[in-house]
Amino acid sequence: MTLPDPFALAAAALLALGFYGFVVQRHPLRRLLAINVFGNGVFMTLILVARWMPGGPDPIPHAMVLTGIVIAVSATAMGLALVRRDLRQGDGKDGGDRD
Amino acid sequence: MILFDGVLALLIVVLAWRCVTAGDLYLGIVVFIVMGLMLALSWARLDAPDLALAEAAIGAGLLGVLLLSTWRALPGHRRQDRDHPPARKAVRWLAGVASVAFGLVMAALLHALQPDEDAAGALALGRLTEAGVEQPVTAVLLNFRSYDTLLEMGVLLMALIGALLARTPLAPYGAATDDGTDSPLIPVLATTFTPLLLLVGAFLVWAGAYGPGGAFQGGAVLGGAGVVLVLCNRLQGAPEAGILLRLLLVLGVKVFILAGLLMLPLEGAFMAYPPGLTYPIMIAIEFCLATSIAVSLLLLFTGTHGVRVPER
Amino acid sequence: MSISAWLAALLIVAGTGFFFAGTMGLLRFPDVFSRLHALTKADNTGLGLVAAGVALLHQSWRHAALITVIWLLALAASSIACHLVARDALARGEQREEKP
Repeated sequence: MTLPDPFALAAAALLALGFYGFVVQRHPLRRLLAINVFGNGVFMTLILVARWMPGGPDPIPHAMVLTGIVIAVSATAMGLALVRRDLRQGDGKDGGDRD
Repeated sequence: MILFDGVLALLIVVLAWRCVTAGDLYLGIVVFIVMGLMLALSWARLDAPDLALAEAAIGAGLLGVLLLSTWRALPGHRRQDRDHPPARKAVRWLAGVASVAFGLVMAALLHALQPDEDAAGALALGRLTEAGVEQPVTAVLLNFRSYDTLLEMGVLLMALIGALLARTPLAPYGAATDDGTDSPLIPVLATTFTPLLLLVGAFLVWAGAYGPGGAFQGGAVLGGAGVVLVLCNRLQGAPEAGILLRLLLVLGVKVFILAGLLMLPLEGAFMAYPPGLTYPIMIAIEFCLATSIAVSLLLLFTGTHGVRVPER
Repeated sequence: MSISAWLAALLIVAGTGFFFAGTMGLLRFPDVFSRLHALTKADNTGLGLVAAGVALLHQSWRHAALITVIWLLALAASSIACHLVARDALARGEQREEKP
């Protein structure tokens, strides 16, 4: 019985917290945050998996995480654009981008 | 170092908890950014300096700016939970129990999983000399699994188009009447930090061939330089994109496909590069990708079709 | 351990002390301006001491120069950020009657 890696526990906690936040919160921005917390848990898991390979960290999970970070940001940015549009539409038209 | 790792991991978990449950939405966003930085630190500890750079630049930096600017653009009463209250108490308890169970199962699985003998990464590392670059992650991204990267650029472009379609009716296009940009220190920020950011971004792209860095990290820093210029009111969104900007936007995808197709008759396969030319082709592709990523991220921030220098 | 390693350890510990003081100020001081004061002064000194210690550990002029550049950039960025936060707080404070 070896001691668990603290980062493995953190990855599991990120996954659980992301799931909890996504189910419980209703504000769209908070849901996007929760999805990103979950995604970070997945990235952490992949990074831990990459360390197992003897002879250095496995570059393939690393490449997948790098791809994942960019995809997560672009998907979140699109989600944020939809949030802006959605939460603005209920209030009729008011000009500028700032309050 | 186990103490440091333990404290870092605990900090990440506490920050994630605060991020998800913070009473104030603004606080939640700030905590999310701090969590991104702590994640970057932990990934640097986990032999992944490339990903630490990417997370610090993209996951914490640019995503943080996007989240904060969206929060700021929301009408005042939509910034908090009043119209979107959290789920009922029973649902909260149920979700809590379910996520604790889920977390425990994941922790047990992660602890029990055994490394596989024939990982694809061993194959990639074994054939690294054929890839043209010394950095294994760059080799995987641009050579061994270049299809993934090409499609990823496609996803980035699609997300940008979607975001622009959603935000076009909201865009102000006027001269920014932003508070704070008349501060005497803003020109210092614009003139001192932007060239340095451009330099660091270009260096990161170049360094991707032999060390931590690459098109995504460098592109994010280059895009960040653009964001700084927009915040300093040296650049602003424009309703129409010039042809040059459009070209830069699709440069990465185009050059990637072109390189793949041009080598098709020579090598007999799409995206197979001849041995002698691999290095220059990959550097060229990398710089084109970084340019497209930078422009895409900048336009995702401004939410407009183009950018222009404001008249003063 | 050589003398330079001891010196580096001393510098790093002293830097951490400044960071600790700055964080205490951030948590305990009542308003934005005194918090900014604690953060920028103490943390920049702390960062400088830690940077000096790390540079000493590296035993290389090139790394020392790079670390100095990083410290100077962090110094410039944090003073600009501090200035902007303070300006914003001042502007808000004039409009709002709440205590800061």
